[in-house]
Amino acid sequence: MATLEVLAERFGYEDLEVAFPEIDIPVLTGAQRQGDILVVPRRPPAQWPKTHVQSLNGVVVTDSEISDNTHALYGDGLVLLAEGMSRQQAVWWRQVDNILAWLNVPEGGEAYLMHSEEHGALGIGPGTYQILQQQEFDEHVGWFPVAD
Amino acid sequence: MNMLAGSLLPTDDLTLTRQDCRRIRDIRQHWVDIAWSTERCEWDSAVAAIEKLYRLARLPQPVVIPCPSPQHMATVLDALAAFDDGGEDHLLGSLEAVEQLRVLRGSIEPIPGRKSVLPQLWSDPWSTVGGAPVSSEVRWQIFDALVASQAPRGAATFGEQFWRRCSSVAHWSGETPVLSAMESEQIILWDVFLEVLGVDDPVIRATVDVLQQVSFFAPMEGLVLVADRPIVVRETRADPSTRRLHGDKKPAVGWDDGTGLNYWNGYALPEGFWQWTPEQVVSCHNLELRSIAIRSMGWEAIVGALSPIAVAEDPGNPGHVIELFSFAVASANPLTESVRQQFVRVTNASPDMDGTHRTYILQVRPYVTDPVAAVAESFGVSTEAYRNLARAC
Repeated sequence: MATLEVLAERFGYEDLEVAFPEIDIPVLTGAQRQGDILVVPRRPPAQWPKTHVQSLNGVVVTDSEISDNTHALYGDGLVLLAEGMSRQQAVWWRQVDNILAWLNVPEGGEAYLMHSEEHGALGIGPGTYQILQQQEFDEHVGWFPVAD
Repeated sequence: MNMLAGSLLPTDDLTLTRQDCRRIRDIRQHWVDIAWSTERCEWDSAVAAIEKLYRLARLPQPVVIPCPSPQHMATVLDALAAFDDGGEDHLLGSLEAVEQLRVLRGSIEPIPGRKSVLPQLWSDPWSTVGGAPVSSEVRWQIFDALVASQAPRGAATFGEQFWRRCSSVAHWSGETPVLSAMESEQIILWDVFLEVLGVDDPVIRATVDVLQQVSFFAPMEGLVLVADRPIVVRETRADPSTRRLHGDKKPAVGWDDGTGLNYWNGYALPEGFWQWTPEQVVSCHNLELRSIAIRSMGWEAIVGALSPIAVAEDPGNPGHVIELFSFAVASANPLTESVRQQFVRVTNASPDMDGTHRTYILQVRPYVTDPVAAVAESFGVSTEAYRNLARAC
């Protein structure tokens, strides 16, 4: 198990401002939350599309409106971002409106969701996951994604 | 760009030494220091540098209009658009812009469709040397050296925050005709090409020289607008290794004419933020702004406007709770009394450097009575699934 400090150094987050950098980051396969992002295990789709799939390597899942903060993925696996998909793909892949991405972590692998400032890291074990964006509700506009 | 075709990198086996990388870091720091300096501009020296630049670029000598602030410069840009295109009838700006229009009438000739000359003076550094032998290894060396920045947090959003308030941007077809040391990525890169990699381009060098002397620079046909530096830059250094633009109930960056931009711990704040009422806080669409308001006003100031409904433990976040509140918002419809909204207050699982935990309020669906169900629904998952959360951070 790696500490937050080790992960921050490995992935280039030297100025991460979270207390207790020495805490261990467990690699889990259950649902986990990082602020307004929820990572939920899901049954894998029948097949992954050939386009829009990327290796992790710092893929930004979502960013901030008023700062340069991001939630980004590192480590082993593949990610399929909902943004930029064709309408046809979106119908299949965006089963719920607030899905930001699908993540697949291979057997024996581990992925990490890092935040550039205020949150610790999530360690994600083998499996397939949906990455969900928290939403708010307004009676006039309905559900809308959390903006930060 | 053709103008620069003869000024590409000098060798085809370029490598960077440790000393080169140190120089790149020094150049970066030099520009960060310039951008956030509060030293007054030396206008005579700046005008001389601008005249030299226009001469080298073979452009007619311009009239230089010094502005006390970039906000003032934006007002002049608004007025200029109307002045060139037909006069006051087209001016939709402020009283200051109308006044500026009168000043312009006495000093310059209108040029219908006046263009920025920036494309003749400047270009994207990488695309310009795109055909040159910059290996990917050297590129990464440059990036690595540049990343070691001491720019305050908030600097990355500075330009965006500023230009959002400038209506004249639309007049320039989406292309901002302005360079600023406060948005310095390209400037730093060009300075690296000039000083470390040996690129020789007198026009680019002269442009860089101008940018050393002013904070904002808008070169146009027959006219140049330049803005002075701020008179105050406020920062916080809760963590000594990181600078953050930060003003508590006052602008983090302020200019001599009273204009300024608000930041809190590096987060950009809208105009009027410090005068917000609790009602404005809870109805703001941005979660982080609500959280900043709670921290700066105090939770007590906000909670007085809310009615508590229920409290529950926060799954995956031991020691913290989710609080559910309702809030009555005055209705815009005279036939109905008020609209009920509901909010949850949640707490970050990860503590900040000072050991405190940030709290946020989120608007949830009305008439939900279980705080956990309200948060589960906000992620689009079942309450049971959310109760089984393995971890939060």
